Amino acid sequence: MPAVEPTTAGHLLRREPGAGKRIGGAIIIAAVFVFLYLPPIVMALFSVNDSAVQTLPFKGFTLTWYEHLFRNTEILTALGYSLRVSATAVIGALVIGTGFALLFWKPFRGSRVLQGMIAVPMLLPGMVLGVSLLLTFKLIGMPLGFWSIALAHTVFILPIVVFVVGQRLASFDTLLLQAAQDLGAGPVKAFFTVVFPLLAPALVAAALLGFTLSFDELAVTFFVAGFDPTLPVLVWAKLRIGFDPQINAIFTLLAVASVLAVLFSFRILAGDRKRARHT
Amino acid sequence: MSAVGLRQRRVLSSLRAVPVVAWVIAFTIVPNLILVVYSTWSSTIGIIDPTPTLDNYGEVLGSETILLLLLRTLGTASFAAVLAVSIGFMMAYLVVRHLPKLKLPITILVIIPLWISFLMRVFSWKVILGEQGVINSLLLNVGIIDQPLTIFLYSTFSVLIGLVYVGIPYAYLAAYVTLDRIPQRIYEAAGDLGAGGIRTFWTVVWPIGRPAIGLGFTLVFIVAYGDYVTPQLLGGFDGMMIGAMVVQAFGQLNDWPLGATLALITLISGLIVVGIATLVTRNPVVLED
Repeated sequence: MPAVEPTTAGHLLRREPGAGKRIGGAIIIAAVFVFLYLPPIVMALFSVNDSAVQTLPFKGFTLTWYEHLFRNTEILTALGYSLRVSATAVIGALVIGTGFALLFWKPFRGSRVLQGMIAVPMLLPGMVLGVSLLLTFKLIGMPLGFWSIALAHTVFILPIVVFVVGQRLASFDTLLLQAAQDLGAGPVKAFFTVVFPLLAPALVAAALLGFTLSFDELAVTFFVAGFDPTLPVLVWAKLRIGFDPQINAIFTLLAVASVLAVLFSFRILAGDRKRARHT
Repeated sequence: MSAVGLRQRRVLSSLRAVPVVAWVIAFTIVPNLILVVYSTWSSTIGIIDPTPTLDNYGEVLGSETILLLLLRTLGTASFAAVLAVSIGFMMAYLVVRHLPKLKLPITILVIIPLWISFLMRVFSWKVILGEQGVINSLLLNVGIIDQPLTIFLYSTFSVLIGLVYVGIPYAYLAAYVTLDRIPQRIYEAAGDLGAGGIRTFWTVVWPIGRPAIGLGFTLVFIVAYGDYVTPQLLGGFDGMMIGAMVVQAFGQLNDWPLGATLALITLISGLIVVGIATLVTRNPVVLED
């Protein structure tokens, strides 16, 4: 009997993962999904439960909380404030982050270390970043409010933009820019006619990711917010006193909106990758 | 190219670093230095005295209560990170190995909770674990218990659930991006050489996946150990963590220098844990693309 099986027979005898293993794996994965989706489902269910108290059993279906929500100026004001803060932070991070990614396009001495240093605010616990920025703002006499929050958010969104845009830039050559300039375009024109269109999908992805992180942020914001609350800061206060299911209602709506936005951005990125493969 | 041109290019090239260096100094180095400086100041009823002193450190490091709280924080966060990484890694392994066709939808489903309000995800656990919560109602209805149990909420256990819950998507992602790069033929080769499932796991998957475990641990741990929201919502008195104390120092206590000291000591002790985790899981095998 030969010690080594012929290759074809070896292939047949090979242990393929059996159906049993696949079913076992599926059961474990399903169990993790139950764990992961239980909280959002509970949140959504209690947004339509006819009771101000979040305890079982259910008292019946109602849209009262949604009706109240649309008339609740406190929550809606905080929501609008949050949207403006996050939009400002995202725009700031996109402009500065894209600039930095372009500077990093051709590596220079120390560029890797610098890229690491930019990421530090993201790797600090939010509490530490919040405290250190609060002390800095106080010391330079910057008032706490809209701009202090937007700036703090820009600081931790920026690394995402630099990374996502940098990855995208790395996939095409700096010669492109050179070619545009050889054809007579100035650096600004070369950027907007050649580089910018290629970067667009990365910018969309970075903007969406940055926006969701900023919009949901509490740990840092809590320290630098000042008087007016963003939505998470307001809800954080309400979770201790004055909670009612309108808060379930607003976050259920926001969850639906952001999941749709994320799936949409996945499609943009996937479509873009497909196009890149075809060209 | 002339020597002058070359030198000019070098100078220009290093000029590119200036805006980035300025940013890093302004928003990373200076704030952290200020944090250090602040920790050496003192405060009496909210009035800051900028005379350098190490009293805050003495107060923090001399307090058994604070040190115990710090240890418990690091322990809880580490344990949560280990649990989240175990679940995330196992799941990522099952997906890439046994359900490769479903890997994209499953991965998207794992990370979707990250786009749902963090506060509400944690708060929902309070609703689930509470005295009249989902779990108690279920157990009562099935008849396993006849009195609602209060053991689920306001304990280290409930804090762990919250932290693990928040950590799983990060741990899964870290494991997934690494394990997904192991070509199927490596498993086949291990199988051809006679290795069973467990042997294949320890000789192939583990050495390649170890840094992913380190990365996953680090991500979950960083999110967990400075967290003051989860312990406050789910932990009650028994599940308190050091972050709550920092918030207190900046809030009710109005002793910012003490708060800065606490934040700094928390940061440094956390970095030590991360450093150890990274060392332990350093990669002996580098997978070529």
